[in-house]
Amino acid sequence: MIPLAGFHQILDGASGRGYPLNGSQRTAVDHPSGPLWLIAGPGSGKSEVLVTRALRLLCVDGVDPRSVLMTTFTVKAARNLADRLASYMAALRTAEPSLTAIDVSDLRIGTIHSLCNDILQEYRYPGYQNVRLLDQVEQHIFVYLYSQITKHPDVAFWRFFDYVVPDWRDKNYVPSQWKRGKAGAELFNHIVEDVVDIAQMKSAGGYWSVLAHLYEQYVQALHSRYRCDFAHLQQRFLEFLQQPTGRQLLDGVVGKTPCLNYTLVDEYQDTNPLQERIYLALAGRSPHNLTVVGDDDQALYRFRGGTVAGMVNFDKACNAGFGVSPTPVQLVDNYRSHSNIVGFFNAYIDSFVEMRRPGVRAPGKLPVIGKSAITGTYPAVSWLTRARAAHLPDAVALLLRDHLMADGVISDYSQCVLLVRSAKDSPGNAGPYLTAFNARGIPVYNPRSKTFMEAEEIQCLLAVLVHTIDWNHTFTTIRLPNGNTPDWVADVNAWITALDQALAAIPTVRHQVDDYVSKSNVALQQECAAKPDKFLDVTLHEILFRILSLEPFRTWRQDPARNLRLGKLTRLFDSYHSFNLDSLRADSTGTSIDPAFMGRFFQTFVSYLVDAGIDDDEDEDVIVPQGYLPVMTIHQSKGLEFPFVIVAQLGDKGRVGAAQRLEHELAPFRNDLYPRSAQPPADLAIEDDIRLLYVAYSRAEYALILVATPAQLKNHVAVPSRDYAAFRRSTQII
Amino acid sequence: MPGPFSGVVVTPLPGPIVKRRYSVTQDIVGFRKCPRQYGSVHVHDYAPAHQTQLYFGTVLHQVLDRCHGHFHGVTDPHTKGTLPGGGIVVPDSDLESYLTSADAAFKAGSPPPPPPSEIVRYFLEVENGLKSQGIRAITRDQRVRVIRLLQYFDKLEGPTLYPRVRDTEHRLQADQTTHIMHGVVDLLVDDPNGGSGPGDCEIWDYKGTSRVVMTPSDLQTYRFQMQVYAKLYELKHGILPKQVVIYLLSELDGPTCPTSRPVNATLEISVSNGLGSADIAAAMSEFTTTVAAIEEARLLNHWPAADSACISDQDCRICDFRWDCPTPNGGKGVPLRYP
Repeated sequence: MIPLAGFHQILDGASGRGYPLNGSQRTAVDHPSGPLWLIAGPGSGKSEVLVTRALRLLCVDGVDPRSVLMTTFTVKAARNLADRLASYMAALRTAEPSLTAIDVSDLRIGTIHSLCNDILQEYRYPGYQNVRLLDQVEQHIFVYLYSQITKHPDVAFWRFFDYVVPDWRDKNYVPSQWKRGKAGAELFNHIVEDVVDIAQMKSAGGYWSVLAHLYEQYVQALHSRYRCDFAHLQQRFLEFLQQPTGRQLLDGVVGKTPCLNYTLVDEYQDTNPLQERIYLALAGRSPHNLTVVGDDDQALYRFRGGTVAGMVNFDKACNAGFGVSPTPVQLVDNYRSHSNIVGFFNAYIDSFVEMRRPGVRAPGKLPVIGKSAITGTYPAVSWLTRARAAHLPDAVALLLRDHLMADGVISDYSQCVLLVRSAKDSPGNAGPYLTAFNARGIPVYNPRSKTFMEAEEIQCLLAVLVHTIDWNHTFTTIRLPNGNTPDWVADVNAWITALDQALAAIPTVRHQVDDYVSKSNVALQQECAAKPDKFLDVTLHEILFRILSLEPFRTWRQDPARNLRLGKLTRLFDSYHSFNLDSLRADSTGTSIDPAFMGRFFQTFVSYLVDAGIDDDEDEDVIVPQGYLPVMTIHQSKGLEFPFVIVAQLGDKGRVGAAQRLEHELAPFRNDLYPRSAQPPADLAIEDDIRLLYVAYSRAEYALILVATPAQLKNHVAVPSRDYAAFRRSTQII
Repeated sequence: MPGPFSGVVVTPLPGPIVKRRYSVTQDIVGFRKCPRQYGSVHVHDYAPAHQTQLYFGTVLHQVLDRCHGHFHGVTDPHTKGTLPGGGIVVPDSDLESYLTSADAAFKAGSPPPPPPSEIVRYFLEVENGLKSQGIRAITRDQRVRVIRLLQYFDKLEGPTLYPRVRDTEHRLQADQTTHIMHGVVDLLVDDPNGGSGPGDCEIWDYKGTSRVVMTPSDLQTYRFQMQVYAKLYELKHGILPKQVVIYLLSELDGPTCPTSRPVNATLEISVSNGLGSADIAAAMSEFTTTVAAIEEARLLNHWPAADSACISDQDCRICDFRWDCPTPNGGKGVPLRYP
């Protein structure tokens, strides 16, 4: 072990991070024991502190790495923490060879889901043996296939819960089975993650009671089919911690494993109530060494079950769970942004009365202080405006090309970012900007320019697959029980049209697709004849890869955004494959593909793609290619920083959604650890909107450019502050 | 007229240089085998359709890990000192009928009947877990064969090997100038004739294959992998392991359990035949060169297909990206399969 002063000296040096920690960071790292409540503003080095604190435990205090558990929100963030730990440990070891025996790879680090899964497997927990863990898509398929909620026919029940049903058009009829399935999954996940008392829900009567019974049937279906979803994985982990085997993890086993003494949680502002209980249980041993780090102002994931309440009320949780108060430390020095940008987003978040209500922000929250090396008298916060909204996109394009690039302010478009609420290429979203950038010769990287199922490469790939396995287009003859044609049939026809159009545009490659389809049709007919009523030795997933080898897919794979989407389609087929449903089978007469196989593929998988909608990946690893201007949603930008940040679509605002409604509606049934303030859903939506834009504004290093017409700024509830006159007086127009 | 930001020049902010971690098998061996496949699967996240090749090796590794835990009473103290197979080998025919009834129970949503041995129970646990990743056996025969090999290993090696096991799934990690290298070795085993110091330890690594199907390229890759593991061990413990043992589990196969270890079942590498300082230095240099190549490929987003000299036909045959790849068949490619 080494003394604390020497430890800091090594990491401050060039082989470590290369600069010293500030006073608050150092206080957090050196915090001796007990719960630590680290409230960290944007750009304040919170991950740095978390990693340094973990290393201090190992190198100064001599804590066994197996006694430390460290978790964060996404796989990408966990990987980054692990890389940083390993890098700094290497610096420490080089300077102090006595530390060679410390192996940081023994430290438990990952997302809460991966840690729950790994630990339950490692301890062979009986409640988690022989089960298949379902990812999100698999959970949807499971609910669709095995849960009664997808068959629940009472339209009044669905109207009662209409806020969880995506895109439900005609409320005189029950939503489609897939919409019911997806809504059911969302309700079930909230019941578990919000720690809802099912008995209480039942006793509430009415549709709540119906939901409670449907939930119990789902749990029974999971159990009898040896499956587990992510929400129940966490629930089982919490149960495990309360069992004798779980005590082995927490208390250690003499001569074998040390006790688990330290839990460090990053991005705590996005924790759900069940996770909050898990962390309290992990730190149940005195002196309760639980360190949580986060920023309540940057909470973005209510729609995934996260609630900022955990971060805001950590003191109440510690008092309820441990009977002690945590030590609060605030990291307020911002090393990322020009001080004018910091001043701007401080004033922004403070300007809303909604954010001053009790329970909305962490108590005693201090303003962020600009400490970046970036200085200068240029307009670090500016307002790019035109009288008409239609003129804004071209103004942004010209600023980028004719000024920032032409004047040598930036050397690559990837040093800028355009942040929008929706990056879709449609007139009401990012479409006008994409058109303007294209017209001005600015290459754009925008993997979310289309909803996944609208993307040309996805539609074309699926169309070729349909041509290949369903040569008679039997899908057009599939009918619903009421005799109607399913909605997805029109979508499949649209994919076929999209393929025709794409091939018409590049006629030189048409023969490749035609040749593959016609030869495959012949081969499949021959195989069916040779193996009636038997599986053919091929899966849909395998066929997909053969089609990907043809033009135009081969060329499309060179495009980063298209490649990302095509990779995602293979993952969706992999999920379908996990239900063992994608092996082709001949019909009993040996003349075609088994209609049952075909029906399942179209009614289950294709209708899922069309009807349920494919969500964007929230934890995708955004790698912006050099030379491209990234256009991304504010959610995508979380955790990133850019020299020039341009924020557009300021006239829009967020709406009340399922997440806000459920947080409110489930409150009477929730087993809260401590009293929580209950805001109406509309207020929660406004808070979320304010936080979303706070995240956008705080990504900027050199300059933040707000793009809006005066009317857009004046009229919007959250942009950019409540005092338009003051904003106009203090912000330079460009 | 100067623009509003004239005179500003964006320069990268100073920040910590975080080194990327590279795994010996997944990253280095994977990239060396084929950059194109590595980029598609590990960088662009394509989900391979051909997971079946993973089945055999993964089941063997995970069940054997449970067997070691069983012998050492890791989760249940009552099993300490006992062999999970109980020293018996359940005949193939009995295994087949058990798997049939277990499958029927799964389909009916009821619990499977009690397994004939703990090895079979561990096998089913592992297999179920792998199904969630889409990794399945192709045939019933393959499942029976895996259990057969596990039983043979347990009976033949268990009594002498299990007591010597110092650690399983042992993680090793070390810093290099530009990156962090890490790997997981299957077993750390005490030398039967030595003491308990780090220099008396052996690294054991299981491979599902047999000697007869190994190509020279496979052999070279295994040796490279073991040389890097040995170096990682040395960096952690200050001394090289006594030797590295590669155990080729398929060498045990046959109608009956072998009564002694088949001559081709192990490849033993020590200072005299591969762990010399020059050999290890060459392997480490190769590791560093490969890291640089991966970093460059990431930067340029360029993932070239493998050189046909670097990859076996067997590897190309199970690659999902082979259909438009110039490498297989000595550069001739493979004909597209229909459908």
